Amino acid sequence: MLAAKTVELSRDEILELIETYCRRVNRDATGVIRGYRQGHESDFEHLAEAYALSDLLADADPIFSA
Amino acid sequence: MPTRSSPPDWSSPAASARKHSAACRAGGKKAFRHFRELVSELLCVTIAHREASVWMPKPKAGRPTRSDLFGGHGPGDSLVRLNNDAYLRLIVSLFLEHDGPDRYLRASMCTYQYQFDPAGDERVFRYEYRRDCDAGDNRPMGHLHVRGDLRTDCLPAKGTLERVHFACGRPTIEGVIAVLADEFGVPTHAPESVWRPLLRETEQAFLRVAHPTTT
Repeated sequence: MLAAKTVELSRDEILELIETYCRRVNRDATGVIRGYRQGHESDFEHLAEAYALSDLLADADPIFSA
Repeated sequence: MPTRSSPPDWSSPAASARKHSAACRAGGKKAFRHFRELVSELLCVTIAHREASVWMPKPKAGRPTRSDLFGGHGPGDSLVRLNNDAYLRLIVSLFLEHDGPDRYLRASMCTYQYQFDPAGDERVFRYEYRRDCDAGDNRPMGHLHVRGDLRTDCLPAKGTLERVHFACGRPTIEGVIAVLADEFGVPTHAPESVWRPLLRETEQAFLRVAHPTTT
């Protein structure tokens, strides 16, 4: 079996990772996260990791409000 | 007793993969870990470099019924190194779906990209799947992008082959592994007599319960 592990990430760690991926393509992380949750983000070439990580955030997360 | 010249015994990892495949379908919180182990075993038997790895980010708080599976060694990584020193960019977003009293493992999106450099500039193809698309999104739920050039000028103005969404049904990790081994010549660890029936078995088990795709 390959090395395989589970890594618990805090909200801040998740957001920091998402921001790193978004920064590489000059995208605003908040816009990407909100857009993906609403179903109209689809830049899987560059942002698939950010999308998957954003799925870990709670629906009630402050980043989705206002 | 095995000797140094004995051929590797692949019955154990194959049996382990079958066990994890069944446990994935059984659902519950443990299904996340079983999916991680299943993918790990399938890659180990086939095309993954011996130093390759997969990891699973899990929220400390937030959505306890969510997790992802990424290729690579940890945060910031999503690449599985392959036996030919190319890479498989692997990202799967997972969740548990309530079905009566039970909760079953589902994927909300996945991306499998074959590439020759860590940055992905030398990518070859990418399978994408998204379960819930915007109502106005006309792209197939499961599709394939190919980075290449057409020999015939047949695309709309400014269109490129890579921007075409080839509908492909539900992408599976087993299908991606088979394409890389069969069509791109990525060497496998186990002989074909071991890995091919194993991939078929776990893929068919998955597809029997998989969410159907539409174009």
